[in-house]
Amino acid sequence: MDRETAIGRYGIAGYQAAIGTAIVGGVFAVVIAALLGVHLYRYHVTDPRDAAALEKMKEQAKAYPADQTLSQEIVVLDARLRRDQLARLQFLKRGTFLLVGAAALCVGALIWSGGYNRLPLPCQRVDRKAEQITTARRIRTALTFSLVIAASGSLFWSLYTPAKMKLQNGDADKQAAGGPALEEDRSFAAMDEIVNQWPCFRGPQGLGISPFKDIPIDWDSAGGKNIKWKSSIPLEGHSSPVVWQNRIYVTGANADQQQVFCFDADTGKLLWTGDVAVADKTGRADMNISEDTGYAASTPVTDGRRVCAIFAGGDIACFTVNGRLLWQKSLGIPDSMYGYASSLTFYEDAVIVQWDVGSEPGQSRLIAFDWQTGQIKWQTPRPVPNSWSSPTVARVAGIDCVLTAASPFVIAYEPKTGREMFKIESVEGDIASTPIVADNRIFALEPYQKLVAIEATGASGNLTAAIAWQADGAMPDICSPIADGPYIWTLDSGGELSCYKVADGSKAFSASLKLQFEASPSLAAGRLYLLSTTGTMVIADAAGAYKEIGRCSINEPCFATPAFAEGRIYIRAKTNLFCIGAK
Amino acid sequence: MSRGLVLSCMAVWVAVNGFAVQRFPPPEFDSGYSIPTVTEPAARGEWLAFLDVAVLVAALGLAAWLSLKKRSRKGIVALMVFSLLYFGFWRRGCICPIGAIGNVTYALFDHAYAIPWFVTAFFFLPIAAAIFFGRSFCAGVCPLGALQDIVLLKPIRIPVWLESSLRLAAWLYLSLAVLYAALGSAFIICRYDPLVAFFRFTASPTMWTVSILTLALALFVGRPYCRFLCPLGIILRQVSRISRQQVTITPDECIHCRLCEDACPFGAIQKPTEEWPTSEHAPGSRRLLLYILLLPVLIAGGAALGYLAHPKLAALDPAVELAGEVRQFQNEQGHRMSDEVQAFQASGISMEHVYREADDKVHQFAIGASLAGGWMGLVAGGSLILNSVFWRRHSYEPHRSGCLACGRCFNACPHHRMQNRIKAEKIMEAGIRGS
Repeated sequence: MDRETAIGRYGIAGYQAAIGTAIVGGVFAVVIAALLGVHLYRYHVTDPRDAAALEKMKEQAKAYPADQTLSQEIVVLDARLRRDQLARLQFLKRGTFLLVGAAALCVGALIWSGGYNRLPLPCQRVDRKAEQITTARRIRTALTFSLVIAASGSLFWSLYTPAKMKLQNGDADKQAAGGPALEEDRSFAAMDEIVNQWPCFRGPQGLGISPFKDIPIDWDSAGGKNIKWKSSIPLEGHSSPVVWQNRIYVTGANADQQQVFCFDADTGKLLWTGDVAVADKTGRADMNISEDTGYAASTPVTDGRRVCAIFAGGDIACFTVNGRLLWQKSLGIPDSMYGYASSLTFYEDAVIVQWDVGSEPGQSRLIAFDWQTGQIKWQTPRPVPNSWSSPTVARVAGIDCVLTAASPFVIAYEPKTGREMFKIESVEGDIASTPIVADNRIFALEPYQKLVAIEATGASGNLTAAIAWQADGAMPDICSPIADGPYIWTLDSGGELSCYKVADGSKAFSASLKLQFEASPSLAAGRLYLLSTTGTMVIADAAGAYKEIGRCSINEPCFATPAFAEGRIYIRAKTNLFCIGAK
Repeated sequence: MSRGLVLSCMAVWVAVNGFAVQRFPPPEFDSGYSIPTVTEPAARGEWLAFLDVAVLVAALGLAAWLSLKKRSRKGIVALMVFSLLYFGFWRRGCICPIGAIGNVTYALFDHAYAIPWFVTAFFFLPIAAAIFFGRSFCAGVCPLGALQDIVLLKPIRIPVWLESSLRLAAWLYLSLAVLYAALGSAFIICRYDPLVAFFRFTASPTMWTVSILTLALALFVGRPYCRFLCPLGIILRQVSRISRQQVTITPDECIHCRLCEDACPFGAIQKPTEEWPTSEHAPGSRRLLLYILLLPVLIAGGAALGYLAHPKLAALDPAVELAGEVRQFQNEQGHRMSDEVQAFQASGISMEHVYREADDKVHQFAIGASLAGGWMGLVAGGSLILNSVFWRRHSYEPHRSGCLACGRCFNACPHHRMQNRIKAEKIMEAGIRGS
């Protein structure tokens, strides 16, 4: 039926009604199609099933399964997203229904009007010969152009567009040759690996001693002399850097954020930043944090496979060396007078946390987490109140043990089981310094009062301990001692450097450096490295008499103990990380 | 009338499907809601597969009869409506002969894959029909074609040169479909079916968008998917070149009235040709020789392009994708663990195995993509050669390979109308005599 037939059959009014209906149906269909298009685009951009907020909360929930508030928030958000999703699907179905209905109306009306069919009309007469030749030529030209365009497009796509697939040639061979595993790298660092790194607070065994001889003795940040690089640290912290091969890890935090940073040791480039979620925001707001401690006072640990960090709010997290979060846990907001500040240590496949909290004994524990999974391997209650001292793994009487100091005990634990090996009442007060081992003796400090030497004897894990000697004096309240065998040095916050004989505790010398100190002293190449709060490093001979070699400055406040590597010193200042070494 | 019926049926179908199951993963936490036990739907009865094949055979036969003997456009449209409802909305577009290309190819290259008999039947029956009757499947049996055909409101004419170029896309699509299926990577024809969203009322947002755009395009361009993308269409085109019977515009001798010239919205009516001018003989021969000599170059060039593209093409393979995901997750900070990587972790399969498998697959893609590229070079060269040869025609004819046997041109032919009128008058007379 054509237009004339339709007018003849239904009259002009019927024809006009049909055309009107077709227009309305068509416009409606276009509007619905446009709305559906917008809806689909929005759906594509914000698919509720991929809601980032929900995913993040679920990740947090895995780390803190006991957090009821978080669980409730997840339930509410999940329900809302489900409602959104169902509404979207309903919208889609209704929209499709309306679209097809409107299209049907439009087509039906067009059929009614006779506009859908039309009588055939002969085309204009043309010169067929010329048309044949022209058409054939156009086809060949178009095919040639298409080929050129397709080939260019294919070439561009192959060579210049980014590949979605990140597989690289030889991955299988690398993996077969012992590449890192995805799920679990159960290996742990051997002792001969550790001694050449700076894996924890004060380096191997927490002694503060570097095995390297070519440590710089002359630098100046003002002129850039021997400053290999300097990089900004995004968040502040009093924690020290730790180093494993060509990577440096530091932590930083404020009231809202907690992060682990990884820097390239050669260039100072920030390689990655690992976020550690704040588990208890409410409790964190009420936390008692001293300015001298801050939110990131605890030094992280690394075994070259992973890096683990703990923060003042009791959040502990472990990352791969490439920055992938392996696990995160919360130990709860610690009851600590100045804020939690104990650094981590490790033994084989365990990260060890000295969780000394509470104003009275009863809440403190020593906890060993599995490096890879975060599962608790063992935990042992400790009969001490809050302390700020760090645990250290050292060899005493030929036996590996975890040494701790907190009022009133120095306690040694078996690192594989957490069994207490010995406990000796020796130090009192707010203990912040870390015990060290020198000449087969354990040394611990009681702030403002005394230096204690403890003799441990025994075999097969059955140790007994006794105080060998104690030296009274104005002992440090923050800085840990350092010893090289014959001598042990202490450095108090006011800059008083004292030296005692390891053998009997007699004082060899005392010197005032006229500077303030919070970083613990270090020893490298027979020299003492003493970093003041102003950023001035005092370098002196490690000998029984005070002989200053020099003073170098980076002109920035420093509170963290520096880390040492071959030919380099890494200093964490208030806002920057410095690499001291030949350029 | 028939179009109104189709659209009404579609509208009803949409309303029924409005109550379909909504997909969303169950909650991962205890919300107090008890999730009902998962029940598996019963397997589809074997007799239904027989029914599908029987319906396909009947529909193909009917389409051939309607287009070749009955010459009824209305009958063809009625068959389209039935096919749209049965193969489209009832069977939800699966299994369809177009998608079966993937299954058959995969079965040829992987003997461990047991291809169901009815899938094989669905693939071969339209081809067998094309050998005897031309593109009967495209005429009224294919639900995709039917949907596009029915919504064609205001067809615009695509120039022949453009149509020839765009058809290369269908060749490319077929090559890629065979490549991916042969290597067991994906059935891309099914995955990227542009109209299945309408049959199932569910698809990804991207595929919904593609579906709506395809249908919108089909309002003005006659069957765009069939002409410029359909991989089965490419196969049927070649087969129908040698088919025993072909659709004719006129039931009698062509009187060159030129009324049918404009009737075909698919550009499948070829005009009669004159003698090739003598002045064109020598340059035409030289051109033909040049294209024949260029053919190996085009094949080699295509193979080289295919080889260069193989790493990107391989990225769609699940093994390569998984290896890439694993590697990315292993090496990149902050990369979220995908479901695939989680499943891989749980499987206990070694990473070396995953990487090795991906390496093997990439190597296979290097060979396959080179072959596919070479094949595309051959197709392009062949097209150039075919368009350099003069073909003599004495009357208006449907294109042997391009005609979709839709029957639109029948009514444009005065002979056809005359015969129908005579038939109608005879029927009326018989009726009067009978009464």
